[in-house]
Amino acid sequence: MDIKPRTALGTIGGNSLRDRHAPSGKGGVTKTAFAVPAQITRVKTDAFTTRPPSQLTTSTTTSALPTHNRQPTPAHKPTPPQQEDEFPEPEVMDMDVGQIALALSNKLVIEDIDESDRDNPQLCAEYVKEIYAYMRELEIKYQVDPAYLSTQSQINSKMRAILIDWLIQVHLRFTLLQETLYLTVSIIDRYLQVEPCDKSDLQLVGVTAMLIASKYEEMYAPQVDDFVFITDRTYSSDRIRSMERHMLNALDYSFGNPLCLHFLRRYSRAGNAGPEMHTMAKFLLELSLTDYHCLRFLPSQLAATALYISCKICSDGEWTPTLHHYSTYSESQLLPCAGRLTWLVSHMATSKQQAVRKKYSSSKFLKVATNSGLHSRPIRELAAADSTS
Amino acid sequence: MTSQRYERVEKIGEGTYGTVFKAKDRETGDIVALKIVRLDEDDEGVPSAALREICISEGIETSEHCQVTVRLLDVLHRSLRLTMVFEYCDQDLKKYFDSLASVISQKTVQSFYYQLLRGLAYCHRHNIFHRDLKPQNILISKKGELKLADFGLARAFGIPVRIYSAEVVTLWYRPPEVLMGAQVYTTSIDIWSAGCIFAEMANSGRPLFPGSDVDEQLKRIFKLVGTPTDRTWPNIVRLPEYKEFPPYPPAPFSAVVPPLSPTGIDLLRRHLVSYPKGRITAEDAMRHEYFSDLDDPIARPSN
Repeated sequence: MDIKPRTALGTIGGNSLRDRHAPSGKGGVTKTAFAVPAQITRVKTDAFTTRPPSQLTTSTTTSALPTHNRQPTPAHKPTPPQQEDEFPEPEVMDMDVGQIALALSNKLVIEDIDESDRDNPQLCAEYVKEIYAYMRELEIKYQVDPAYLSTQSQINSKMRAILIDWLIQVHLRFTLLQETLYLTVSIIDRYLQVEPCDKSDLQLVGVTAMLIASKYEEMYAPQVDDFVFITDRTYSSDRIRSMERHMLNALDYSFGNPLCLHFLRRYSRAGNAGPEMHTMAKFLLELSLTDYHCLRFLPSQLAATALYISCKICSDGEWTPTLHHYSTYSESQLLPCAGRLTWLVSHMATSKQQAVRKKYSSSKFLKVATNSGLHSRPIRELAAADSTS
Repeated sequence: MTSQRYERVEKIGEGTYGTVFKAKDRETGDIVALKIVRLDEDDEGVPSAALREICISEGIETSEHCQVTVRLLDVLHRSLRLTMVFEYCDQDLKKYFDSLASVISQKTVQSFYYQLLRGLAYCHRHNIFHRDLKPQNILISKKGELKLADFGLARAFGIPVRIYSAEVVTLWYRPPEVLMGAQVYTTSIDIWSAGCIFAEMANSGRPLFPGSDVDEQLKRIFKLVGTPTDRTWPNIVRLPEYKEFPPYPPAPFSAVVPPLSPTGIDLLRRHLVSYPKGRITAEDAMRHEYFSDLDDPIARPSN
């Protein structure tokens, strides 16, 4: 079954009435049914700026905010400063520059990247090794079958890509945490692996996954009505709540699976990555989200590979012994995944999914998507080796 | 009412977000605890606290045989009601204190506190902080095993630990940084609460810092451990709700917790450090000299 993307968009939206009334051939259908409503940003910004700062820290509940409003209510949450989403604080990162320099001058030395963190409890140095070892166990336990879509009769990898591309835009508009996005996609895949899903319910699965991920990760999750609004009222709040129940049970309430972002933070530290290199790696990881073929790689592997490629673009490209040690991946072990990620890079201009590229072309994300290094020879060579496509 | 399977016996409390009942499992005859959350027709679906509690409880369960937390047996999700079925424990630490006829034996304190630390170390190793440790959330089984319960405020943390809600931990057990509005905190917040509970155990259930509001709470704390300065706590003035307090000097701990041995006092002192980075970890606390003569087979099954 090979559905043209726009048809799939309309169908995924489940808004058949709108489909019929929309002017044909203008792309208006897809925009209406699937675009993120523009005013949500404005409302949100207003709500945020008019909120006195004192309330930002003392507000404990979102339920005091009106939910009956017919307008979107993305005043749902005072957006906290998202420092965790971003790179570790500069002073934290600079602490071991001396040590790293030492390690680089002697390639045989594997540096203890936690040594200097003993007095920084935010980095939990005393538990960090055990926690990461535990995460490596968990990621295997939670890995989905990379061919799971073959069990779905109505959903294919193109629809999955369209859905995730759209959710990336929703995530950006709701200004949610990075973790929430990765968890959303993981919930979608794990759910679709075990439950058959109609085409017309795919978007419902998507927004409900984001609702669940938000409840797990966010301090102030968006409200159910925000998701009703964002789907242009394709699904009622009742349907979202009932899908939530269904998905929670299907996944046994387990959402503690490690995300590639958790690993990237560790590896970026081991690689002494600066903000640009780290952001570039995040860009590559997000690019992998819409790609069904990337499901065969573990989150830790994707994270290591993204940093590996990012190193080549933003730095000398060397996969140091320290990086090898902390990621446990050697350069050659990363090549298959590197082939796939660079293939995605080399095709991003012509891809139907543009949300990630657009997002990372903005100055907030250091415009890494426009970095000419993405099209340099070493990257093209890696892409040429991709065996997937 | 709840279901065919569980017969409610009596209400035993109100949790942070649900009502807890003692109930009988008709299939097995076991006594269980039901935590029931009402979901209104028009609300936000499953509360995030319930979602996290179930997720964390199940995660803990599948990963270790040594039972340091209360076991979640089942989850029933009907349209307007979510029921969590937990193993039932007769007593919580609060009720245990209330039932004491005389003073607690310091051997019991040692065993209980070791078990509490073991549970906490387990959580922290699995990147979970509890965020609401207090005697009511620490349950005691018939065999004298101590188990952590009520993970409604708990959550898994990433590294680096990011900002979280400052609305955590019951006032008496809340550490100074959270009292001053810190949103960046780590496993050390549980260590502060644990220290308060340690002292409370040693004093047969007399709370260490029974403050009535945030200000009085901080005052009580600083009168014991001394008012922090920018030297003992760098950048304390930058905390969101920083307030100046009179410069109380540190008071002797032995006067506040007389039954505790000198090594116990030393261990307690390492918990109750205002500056979060100065606090001991659960793991290091378990290795402290205070436990060198621990011989309770429940606390140390391998010995």
